[in-house]
Amino acid sequence: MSEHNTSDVGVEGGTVEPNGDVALPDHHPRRTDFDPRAAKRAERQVTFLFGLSALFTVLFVVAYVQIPTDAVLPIPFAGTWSASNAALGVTFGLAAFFIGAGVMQWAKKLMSDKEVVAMRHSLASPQESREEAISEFMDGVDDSGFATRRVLRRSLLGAMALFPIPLIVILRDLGPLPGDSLFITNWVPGMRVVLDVTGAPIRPSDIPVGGIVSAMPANLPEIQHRDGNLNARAKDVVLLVRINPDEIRSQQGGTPEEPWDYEGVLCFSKICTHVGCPIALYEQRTHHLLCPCHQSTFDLADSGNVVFGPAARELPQLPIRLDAEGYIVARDSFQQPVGPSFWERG
Amino acid sequence: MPLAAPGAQAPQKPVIYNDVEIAALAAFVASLGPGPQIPTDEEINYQDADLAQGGELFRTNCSQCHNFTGEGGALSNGAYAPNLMNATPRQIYEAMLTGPENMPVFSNETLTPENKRAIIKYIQHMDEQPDYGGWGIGSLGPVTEGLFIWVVGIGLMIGAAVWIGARVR
Repeated sequence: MSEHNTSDVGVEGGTVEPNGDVALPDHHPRRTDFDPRAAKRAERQVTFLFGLSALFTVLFVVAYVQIPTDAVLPIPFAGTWSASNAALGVTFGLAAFFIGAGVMQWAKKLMSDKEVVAMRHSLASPQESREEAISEFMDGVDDSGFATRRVLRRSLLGAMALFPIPLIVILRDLGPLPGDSLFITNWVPGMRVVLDVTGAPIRPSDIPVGGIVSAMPANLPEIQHRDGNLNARAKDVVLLVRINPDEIRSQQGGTPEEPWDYEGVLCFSKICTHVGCPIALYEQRTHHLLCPCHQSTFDLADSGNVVFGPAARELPQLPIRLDAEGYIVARDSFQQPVGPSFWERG
Repeated sequence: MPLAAPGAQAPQKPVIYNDVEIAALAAFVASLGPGPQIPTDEEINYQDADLAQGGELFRTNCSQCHNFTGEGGALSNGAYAPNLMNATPRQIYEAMLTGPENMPVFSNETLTPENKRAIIKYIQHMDEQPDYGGWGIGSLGPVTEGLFIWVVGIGLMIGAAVWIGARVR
């Protein structure tokens, strides 16, 4: 209540509050409080800082007008910068900084630093204001007839009850459910493995031991955007590596008659089984394949098993063979879903 | 060469031999077993190469290790993929053909000489690009940049806060 509110008061250092606590330490005057020359010097410092800000603002305009956008600025040890961008950023930043620095210096050196106690005030309005507001509201209720015109009231409540329905209906856009699209790729038996980007078919002799090739199914470029080309690219890309057959310790499948590799050429999904980053950091001496996102590491010479990092399952291997023309084709489709885990996969 | 110390990575070090001695060493090693030839000046002349295709090939085949802009990046167990900004066209071409250290081999069949020249042109183009964001601190990615801003940026903020709050005499 207003009659209980007290105004803020300046307090003397060492004052003892009614409850017996010592309120504040002794107040020490600053040099600028009693030495006019020090105060004058502080005033000059603040003026100088504001002047610097003004100077940099002018320099910003000059830089904007004068420096061509394609000019470059070689900075030792920091590369080559765009001269225009660097000049605009530095001048604008310093112009803002020196306003702040000047204000802080002003506040610290020249404004009063006497300690003040701010009393806690009641936040409620005075009683008569509250009564007046309530009576005005009730007048409005009577005037609108909200209480007596029952049809109006019900139609308003009905309209407001229905209003949130569109917000629920548009949740349908979260669908449709993916169906089996996460289980299938464009790799079908006999699908050619072609070079990513150029689309050229690949012979095993093209890949030296220690080599790696980013590849895709031959039909990927023909898939139209509306038919999910981007989704196909996100699932279907594979890697071909060639490892000395003596160093291959295990594979995910295959029999001596129908091996999954071709003379040491192995084909793996390029999509990490953790959260689906494309992976191709291949260390040819260790046969380790690293994911750049979270450092999951797969041993391609040992069934693509996880040897480090957060991935929970092996990198899916694509069985390959040669077609009649000697190019690498898929022997079969992927035997497990590619990419990260999902609910139905378990 | 010779290797300064056995370890995960053999970093670049000052060249001790002169060009004649290096050529003689290469000729001797070549006599012991076949290997890729040193690319000729025509093979590495990238002036007419397709820059856009080079970018696509680089991002498909190289960027995982060497970063989208060729700045290099970390591998496992202390090894790293070096920054390519100061590599010569001949060095880049030779590296793709031979696969130094942990780098895989990119044969002339899967990356044709024309593709290799396009990649070299892209790397050279990246080298010539000015840095529009100012200091790139190596463009090494979010971890490095986050560490930098947490230590240096927040450090400066704390310094400013201490100055603002300091008692004046």
